[in-house]
Amino acid sequence: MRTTLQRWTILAGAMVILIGQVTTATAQVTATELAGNELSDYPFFEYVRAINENAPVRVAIDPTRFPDISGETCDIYVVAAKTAAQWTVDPSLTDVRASGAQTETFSGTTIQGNTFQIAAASTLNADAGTGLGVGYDVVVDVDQDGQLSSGDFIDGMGDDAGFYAVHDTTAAGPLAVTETLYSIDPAVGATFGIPAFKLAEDLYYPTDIASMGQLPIIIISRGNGHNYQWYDHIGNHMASYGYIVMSHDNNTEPGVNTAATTTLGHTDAFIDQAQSGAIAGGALVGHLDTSRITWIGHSRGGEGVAIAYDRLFDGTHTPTHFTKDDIRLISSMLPTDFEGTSTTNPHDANYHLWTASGDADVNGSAGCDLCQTFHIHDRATGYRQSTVVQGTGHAWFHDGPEVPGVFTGPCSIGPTNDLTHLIQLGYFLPLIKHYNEANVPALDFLTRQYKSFRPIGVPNGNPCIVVTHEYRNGSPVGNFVLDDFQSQPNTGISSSGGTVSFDVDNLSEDRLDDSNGDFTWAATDPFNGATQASSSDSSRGLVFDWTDNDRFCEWRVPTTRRNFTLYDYLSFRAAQGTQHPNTLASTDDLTFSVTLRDIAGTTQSINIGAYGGGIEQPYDRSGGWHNEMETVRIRLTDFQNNGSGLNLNEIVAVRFDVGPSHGSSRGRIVVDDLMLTSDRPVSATPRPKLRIADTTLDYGDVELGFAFSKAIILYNDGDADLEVAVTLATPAGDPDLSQWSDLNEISTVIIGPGDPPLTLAQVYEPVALGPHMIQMTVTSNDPTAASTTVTLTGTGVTPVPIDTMLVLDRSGSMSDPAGDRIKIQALRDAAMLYTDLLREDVGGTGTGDKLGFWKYNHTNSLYLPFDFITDPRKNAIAFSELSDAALTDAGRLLPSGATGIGGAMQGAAGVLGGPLSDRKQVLVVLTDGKENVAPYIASVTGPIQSANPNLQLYSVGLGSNIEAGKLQAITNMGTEGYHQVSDALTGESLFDLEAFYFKIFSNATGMDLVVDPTHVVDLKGTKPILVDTARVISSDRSANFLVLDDPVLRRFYDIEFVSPKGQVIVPGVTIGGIPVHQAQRRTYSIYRIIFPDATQAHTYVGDWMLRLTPNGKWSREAVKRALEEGEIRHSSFINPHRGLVPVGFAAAVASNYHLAVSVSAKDYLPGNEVLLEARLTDRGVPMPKGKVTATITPPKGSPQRIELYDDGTHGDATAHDGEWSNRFTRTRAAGSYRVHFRSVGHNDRGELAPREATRFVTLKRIEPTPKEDPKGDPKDERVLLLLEDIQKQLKELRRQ
Amino acid sequence: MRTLYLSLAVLVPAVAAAQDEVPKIPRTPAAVTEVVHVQPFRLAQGYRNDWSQKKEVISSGSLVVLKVDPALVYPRNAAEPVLYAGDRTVQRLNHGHQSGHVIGIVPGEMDLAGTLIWFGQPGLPERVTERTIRAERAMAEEAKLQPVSAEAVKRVQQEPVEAAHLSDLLRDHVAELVLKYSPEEKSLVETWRLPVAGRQPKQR
Repeated sequence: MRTTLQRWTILAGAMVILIGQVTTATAQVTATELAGNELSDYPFFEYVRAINENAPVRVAIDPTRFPDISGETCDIYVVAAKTAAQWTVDPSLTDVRASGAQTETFSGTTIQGNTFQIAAASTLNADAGTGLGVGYDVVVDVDQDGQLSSGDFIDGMGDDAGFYAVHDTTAAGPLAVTETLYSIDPAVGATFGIPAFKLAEDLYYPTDIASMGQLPIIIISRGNGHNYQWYDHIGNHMASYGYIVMSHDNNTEPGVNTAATTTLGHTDAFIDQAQSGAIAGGALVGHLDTSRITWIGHSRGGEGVAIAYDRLFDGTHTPTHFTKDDIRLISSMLPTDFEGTSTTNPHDANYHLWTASGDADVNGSAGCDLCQTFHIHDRATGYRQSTVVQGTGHAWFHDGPEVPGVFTGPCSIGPTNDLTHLIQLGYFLPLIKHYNEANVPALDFLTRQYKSFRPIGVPNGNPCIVVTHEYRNGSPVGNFVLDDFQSQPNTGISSSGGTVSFDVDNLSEDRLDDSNGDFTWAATDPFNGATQASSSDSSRGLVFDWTDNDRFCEWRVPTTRRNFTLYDYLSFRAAQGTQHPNTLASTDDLTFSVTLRDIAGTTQSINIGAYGGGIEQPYDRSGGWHNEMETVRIRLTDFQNNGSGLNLNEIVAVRFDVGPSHGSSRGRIVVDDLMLTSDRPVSATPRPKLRIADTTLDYGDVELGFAFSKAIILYNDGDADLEVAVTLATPAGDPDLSQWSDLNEISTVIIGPGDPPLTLAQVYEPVALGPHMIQMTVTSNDPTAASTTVTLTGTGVTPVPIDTMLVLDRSGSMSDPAGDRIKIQALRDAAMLYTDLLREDVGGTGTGDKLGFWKYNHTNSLYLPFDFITDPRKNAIAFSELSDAALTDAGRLLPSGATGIGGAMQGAAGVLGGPLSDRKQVLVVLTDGKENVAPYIASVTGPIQSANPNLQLYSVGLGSNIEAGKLQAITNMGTEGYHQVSDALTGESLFDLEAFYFKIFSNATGMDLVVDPTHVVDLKGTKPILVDTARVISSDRSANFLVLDDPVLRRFYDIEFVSPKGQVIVPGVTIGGIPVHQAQRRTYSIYRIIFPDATQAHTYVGDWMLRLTPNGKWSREAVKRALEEGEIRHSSFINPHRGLVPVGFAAAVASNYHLAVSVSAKDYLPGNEVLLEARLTDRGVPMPKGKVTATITPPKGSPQRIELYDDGTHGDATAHDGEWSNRFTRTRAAGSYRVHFRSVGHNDRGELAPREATRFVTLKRIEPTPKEDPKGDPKDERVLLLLEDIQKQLKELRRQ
Repeated sequence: MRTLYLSLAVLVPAVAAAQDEVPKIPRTPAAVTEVVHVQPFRLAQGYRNDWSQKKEVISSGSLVVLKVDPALVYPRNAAEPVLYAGDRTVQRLNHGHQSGHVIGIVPGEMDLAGTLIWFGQPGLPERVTERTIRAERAMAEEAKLQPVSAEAVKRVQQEPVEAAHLSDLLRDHVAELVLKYSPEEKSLVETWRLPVAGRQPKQR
């Protein structure tokens, strides 16, 4: 037995298909759209289903979407359409063209460069008999083997053809038609409720019906004052295509309810009598398909058919020979609306509406509610469409007297009624065939702009023929409405829940109902011209305008709906606002651009006019008649043409860009039904569709003792319930299982269509070194994904050691004071602190940190050889390279000379070398001045980063005479990587430089800052003072605490570091049995604590305190003496009379709970908006419960505190996802802004967890690089030293 | 007489073509111009009257021919003036906008002598209630519309007719009134006289 194997994989708009038999090699074919029309503007090509026979046919492939085609010379085949099954059985290619297959070479990077005409106009057979068009498949035979085979492309792989050559739909069909007039027997009529004076029927059927099967039925219900015989044009046309058409007399004179009764009665009576043989001599017996009935009504009859359906829907009428579901289509021509919302309601029927804009009877005017045709259309909840014809009147839709035309308005297309009839017939045929026969090419007539695709028989070139279409796919599946403006009246939120932002003018959202009795524009009636709803209807929309300026309106896409590859089109309906000055400003179609933006910020726009035509201007009747809605549809894959890079899997926003740069310079539009659609047919079967966010969960390297969580995330992208289960596939006993501390399986659960995804967290907490891997299995009722394996991998590692090179500035200006300290001393202390923070290489195992120094002024050189750090070496450095003596030694760090930063960076980076897989590499550059010696920063940063992409570059600017822009540009660590320290190292800023080096170390080692302020403590008392606390939670695995103070002031107080249990941390103390590591040098004390596991959380969870107790020794003399002994001058802060001393306290934790922050700005120039973002996670899982604030200190002015939001506003993409945002806009001042984040959140265990983080962002142009010395040599050292001496003498003179 | 009817049939469309305008609805209430024909009828089998909300079964009444302002009866799909006679609506059987003659049925037993016959406000007859009629009548009286005089009725009163049911009445009697008073609408006559499905054509 040969079993057919087919596997479908969706790729953004294309499918890869395995075709063939399992007994032979399988072949991979790409099924995608190929046939269509070229466009003059982006997207440069439109893929279509139907192409008029008198138009050429083209194919196009975008090589950026299908790179494999590039460079290939292929044969293009146009073949008679085959079904999927036929292709499987017979993959041979036989071209239908006389010239045979066509050879073309695909190249370049544009779709327009790969567009080829494959058939000239009128060369393909379009004689489809009673069908609309002849189907063809297009194959690009890449290997030129004359077979559909591996690597080939095909348009038409499924049961539908690739395209259809369509004949003139206004022309009569091939079947001869018989017409017969008769009256229903009064007794039969009475049985079905037909009045005795309305019994007449006019019947049309194919003359040769005896040779045919069952045919669909069309019932036509005339309007008031009309004759049932006046619809012969429709009767003959449709009968010639195989339909049985009956037009009946209609009881419209008493009203529309009696008309509805007559429609129901005649439908039943006709079937009854035709099946009994009473009609047409029994010719119809056995030929009525009573399951396919179309109702067409005119005027009151057009309302009557909607009322008739309402009775079926409500169950107030039960027909004898048909049911509600047999009514496949209702088409109302120019219908009245006497009965309103509850009665004249087509509900879920497939509904179509005709409107004549020049109608002088059902005239559509603002003051006549019952004359507004659009009401009924907007009440339809299923598939619905509307056709508006300008320049025609009420009487030209029937075939009775053409005069009077019951018409008023300019640019008439009658009398005669011929043009109106051509439009009518040319549209009715595809409309009726689509809903009764599921005809495929018919849909193009319903959905494409009339200007670009219309029945062949409707003449071109008549400017008075203006037709617009609306179409909304009503399938309960395959559609997603982004905004229908119904359920969410807030203009800032869409009906799908996303944020709506805009800067268009006069935006308003309300019922589509002109609020007064005329169409004269008035600002007090923003929905002027809208007649889609009456006062009892709920149809709502959006209106806005723009005037000669670019504007936008943007809809954010809900997180769970970002995968646009599930749909074929973006669709919306829109109309120009009648009589508005902006509408009247131009008679051209109104156009604008639709833009999609993906999660990476990539955008692509398409002008709606690209496909031919835009939004028509309302009919110029009485200065402008009702708003005429028309649907615009854009194929989603069109946004990817020509390498746009747009990721349709992750679209975050849909945006309308309006204004002179995007289309019409000014305009006023009404918008509604913004949605994604897939053209699912009426009979579409709902199906589940499983999407797994990631089938590989790679935890990367996780340090022993730490845990990291990732989740199996399951989506249902389908339209039926998804049943899904997740089980462990790795057998019990596998040693790797123990590396996961929490594995979540689940027995069968149901994810409904549109439900949020199911998230199953899996926690990797390695206890052994090396790689680990387990697998889980996802089973589902999605037939295409019955069983899927998810692989979980991670590697347990020891803490990753750091290699650091500190680049130390010893230029002349480093001898200057910075507040209470000399700069070079402050740098020395900070460098020593960094040294002491490094982790010792115990026992020469190579697992410790390495350190080296590179010093520079106008020259640069290695200062501390790069090597592992040990405690003895730390002490050696303190007594040598970073000793007091070194600061006055011209051979070591005595400040002198100029500033050559770039060369020092080069040297230090060279020491660190290339990237290492098992060690982090850090380079910290400090400077207090502006570079004036080559090589310069701009020329070395790129090469350094290229040579070692893993190198973490940090920069520190000391003082105000720096080039902050350059320093910010050095770092590749975002705003984490740049720090600026002011000149005023005094008071609360005294220890800023040490604090920054502490932060750099913390950041480089992946630790989070818990607290980092410097406090001013008043010693004029004797009671213990709680300086600060640092909250530790059970998620924290280790901590570094830093205490900073002036050594000479310690004589005035006792300082204690205390655990949450009240234990004073002194040498020898343990926490949970683990000793606390302590180090003290000069201005700081370091406490390093590794916490025990969570079972001993009580020993470390809580507030760690820094407590200070004045000892009462503070006196004027004692203080004066102390200050004379100290290195820190305290000239401006310490005052013996007031007792204030600065004490710094910082804590950083290595934790499973993280605060990540970022500060970003466009171009980093003054005046630009700065986006502040923060994210809280525990073991990688977002922690949405919490609050985040940021205090921004600008270069000038006072700090400002703002709150960040996680509610989908203030720049926040998604509400309640654990990510907070806000925008800071007071950025006019150029310079560096300090942003201090504070978060108070909760970890997974619900423990309160404060976190802090500081970032600097510089908003100013990057300083120009000095003109490069062509030799790259430092300037003459003697000259520089001479300049330095002169500067010093000047300073001295000023001091004197 | 037949010759005269044919001539009118030719002339009227020409006039309409020249006017190519839908006339505005005249002010209501508005009286009929003249009662031209009154003829009681009786049916063996009644029918449901759709021309009021009551929807009573009618088995007798009066066939009337009324001369009217054509603009009042110009067929419209939006609301048209409703024709009343005394305390009930008149069931109109033709349009009459070309001939100026409306042929209708006044349902039930009613002496038209001294009865007010008038066009009320535009609306749908199927919605008319007794309350509607009282209100419309009050407006008509306020407008000082005059009832039909006994002499006028007497002058046009015809002998009663009987038929098995409404379709027979239309086919055999009303059709002749249409041909006589509103020949432009002979298609109505043709419709009422169509062959009945399932029956042999009636010999006439």
